[in-house]
Amino acid sequence: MTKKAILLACFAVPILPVIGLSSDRVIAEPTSRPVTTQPGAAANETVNPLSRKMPLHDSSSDKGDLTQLSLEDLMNVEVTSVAKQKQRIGDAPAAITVIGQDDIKRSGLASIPELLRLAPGMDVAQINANQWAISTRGFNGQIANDLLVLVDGRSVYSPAFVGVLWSGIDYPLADLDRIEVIRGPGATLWGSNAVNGVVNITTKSADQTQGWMLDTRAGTETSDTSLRYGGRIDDLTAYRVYMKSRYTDNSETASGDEANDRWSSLQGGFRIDRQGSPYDTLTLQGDAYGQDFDSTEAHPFGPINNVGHLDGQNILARWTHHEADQAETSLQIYYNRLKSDSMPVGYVENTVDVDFQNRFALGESHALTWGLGARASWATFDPNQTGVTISTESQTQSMVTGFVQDRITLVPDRLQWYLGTKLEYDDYGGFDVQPGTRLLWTPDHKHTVWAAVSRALRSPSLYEKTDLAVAPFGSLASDHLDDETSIAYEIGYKTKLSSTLTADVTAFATSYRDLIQQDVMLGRTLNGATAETYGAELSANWQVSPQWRLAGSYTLLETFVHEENLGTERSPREVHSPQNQFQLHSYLDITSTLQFNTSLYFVQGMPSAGGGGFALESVPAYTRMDISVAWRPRENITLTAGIQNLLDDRHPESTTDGFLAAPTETPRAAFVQFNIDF
Amino acid sequence: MAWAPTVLAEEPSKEYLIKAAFIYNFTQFIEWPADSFASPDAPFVVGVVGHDPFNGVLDQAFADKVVGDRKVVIRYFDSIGVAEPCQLLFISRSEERPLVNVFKRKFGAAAVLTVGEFDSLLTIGGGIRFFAENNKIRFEISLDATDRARLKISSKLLKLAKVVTK
Repeated sequence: MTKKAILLACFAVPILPVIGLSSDRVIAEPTSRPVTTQPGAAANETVNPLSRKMPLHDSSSDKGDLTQLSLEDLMNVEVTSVAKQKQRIGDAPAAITVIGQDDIKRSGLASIPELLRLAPGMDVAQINANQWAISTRGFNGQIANDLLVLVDGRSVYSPAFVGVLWSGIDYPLADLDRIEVIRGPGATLWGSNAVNGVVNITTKSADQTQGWMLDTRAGTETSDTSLRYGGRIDDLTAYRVYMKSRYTDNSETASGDEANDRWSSLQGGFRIDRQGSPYDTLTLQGDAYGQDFDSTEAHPFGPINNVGHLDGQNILARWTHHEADQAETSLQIYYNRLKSDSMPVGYVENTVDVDFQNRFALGESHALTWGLGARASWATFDPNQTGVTISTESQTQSMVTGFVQDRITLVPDRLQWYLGTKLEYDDYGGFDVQPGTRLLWTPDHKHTVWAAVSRALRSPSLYEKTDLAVAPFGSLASDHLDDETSIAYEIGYKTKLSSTLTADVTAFATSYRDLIQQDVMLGRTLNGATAETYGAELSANWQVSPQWRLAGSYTLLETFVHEENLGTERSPREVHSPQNQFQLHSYLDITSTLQFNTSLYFVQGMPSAGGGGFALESVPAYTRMDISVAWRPRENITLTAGIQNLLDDRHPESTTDGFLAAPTETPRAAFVQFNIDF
Repeated sequence: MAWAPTVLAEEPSKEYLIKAAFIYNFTQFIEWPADSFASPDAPFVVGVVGHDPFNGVLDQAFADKVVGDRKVVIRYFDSIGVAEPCQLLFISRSEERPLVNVFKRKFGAAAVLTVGEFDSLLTIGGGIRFFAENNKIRFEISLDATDRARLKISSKLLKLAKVVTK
């Protein structure tokens, strides 16, 4: 953890939005079910559940078991959702990318933050071997606070850190089901801080991870080993336990010397899925981890070396009751704890979150979803370095939220209108409304056009709200801060040009008001900035032949920031994110057991900027190329070898952000990996 | 449901209730060779490989059912690599890409009816593919595949199917 991060951490109030179940809905999570079902074992009810709970045409229909229908009758059943089921992603009225297990395996990338490079429109900049600056649609930085990140419905947006501790989600990559990346505001569903995007990370269900799995990697930078075992407690209940260790070596400084940013991590956890009835699923899961990492902090009087320790624990329980297509109820509760003893201030944060959600169809043309949630977070701070003054050593924050959304079918299968809002009440900011509306037009199964207008906000963190003094950096007195607000306008088009070629383009314009500004020159923290961003994201996927697939994307971003008291200087916020990004991936199956994968990334450089006491150095443009070869000698064994950053010895991807970690450079790296299921 | 969930949530939709009922019917209108079973009292095994779109409704469709006089067992496999012998195998969309090159080698002349819904299924050697037409579910049968698997298909089923031959 870096110095400023710690500062932020100590002063950060837990102001997390209630997310939770709404996110869980987006995570497409297959219901667990028994691997083997004896005849009659699935449904013990005396009444066939199909007839009771899943009427065919209408509720008065008592046809019973669908298998009793003749083939002719079956062929006459109208199934309105056929097209939707076929093109789920294509039908989304939003900019969504899904990184699946095939993408994960082929990329050769070694961590979740690295995998986000694959998503079009994401801005992933490695700061050093254990830290990343990740955002989308602008305002990137180590403390990128506009991106909400969830793992199986649990927020990993740290209330103390005011951002995401990417190192703290070191799951075995082979057990991930998918990573969904939603660009643009998700506040109508997820609430505050889902301003510029939402990342949903889903692990596989326990049913999908049965047996032993060993995944081990040895590399010039990163070596890791995951071991998992999945079994069954009874016919209805599956479980898995896993352990993962990692060691990432020091990266390099600009001169090629060894940097000071080692990262070692040990994480373990479990997941239990029980199919309580054909309609009820219960999930219990938890993880614990401990990590050590070195860092060198930029400092006006010279760099400071730190050794930090981080550990975390979490446990989550979720019940889902699924009645039919349009009716589902779920309840989720989780507890999350994080402890850091990093300099100059250690902290412990705790969060308890409860979420309830229900959806149902109202007549033919309305599908309603609503939810209620509550969250409490508390944190204690422990200054462990001289010169740091904290006005308060423990903080609590609580909030209650609700949301409602209606999907109105204007023209069946053609035109749908989404209208909804999030309502939040927290004990500092009071009552907030974050409405959004979306229109989805699918003239036929090959074309999808959508448009959206959404309001989103970010609550001020405690760090920003508190008067603080940190020798020798000076002090900041905080105004009474309002929420940062934004309004985003988006329009998108997705098309299936042929059975082998798909394309997706999104354009957006977002205006931000009351952006919080920490002006060291003035010694004040105030709602002093406004901004506008414009941009476009274009991606395409081409299955050139059954053996060869190409995927590419281009991202354009224009950021304009207006800060008070900045004079003629350029705001650092304006240059945090690259203006142009381009990437191309080639996935080639040389034979049925041999793959050759290549990825090429171009990221435009970022100019220097400064103001308000912060200064950013420029970052040169870079082109990164990764290659890997995967060989599958048997169905359950994969051997992979690869080189990352093939084209240069090393390059920086990020820049110094005030007091933050001195960025190091990403070196060329080689690895071999062995994966076996048994 | 909200916009994102609508699109991404995997649920036992009406579509898959119907498809499960179709699959049940397939087992009633197709005859498997006797040597496709390990023993006279071996169960009839229905497998689902890859991501399961049925979410449990396939189990319900076959609950208390028999094929011929055999009990029915539903089994789920993560990937084709770990799939065990079965009489009918539903191949999920998630397995399309892994199977493209290995399908024929994998199944050869095994007496397995492969069922799925992705576009290339019959091209690469699959048996029955579901497709949608005017919001109704249709299916097409590849006689090459079913002949190779030595399956006897009743004329009633063939009459309702779109029959594909090379």
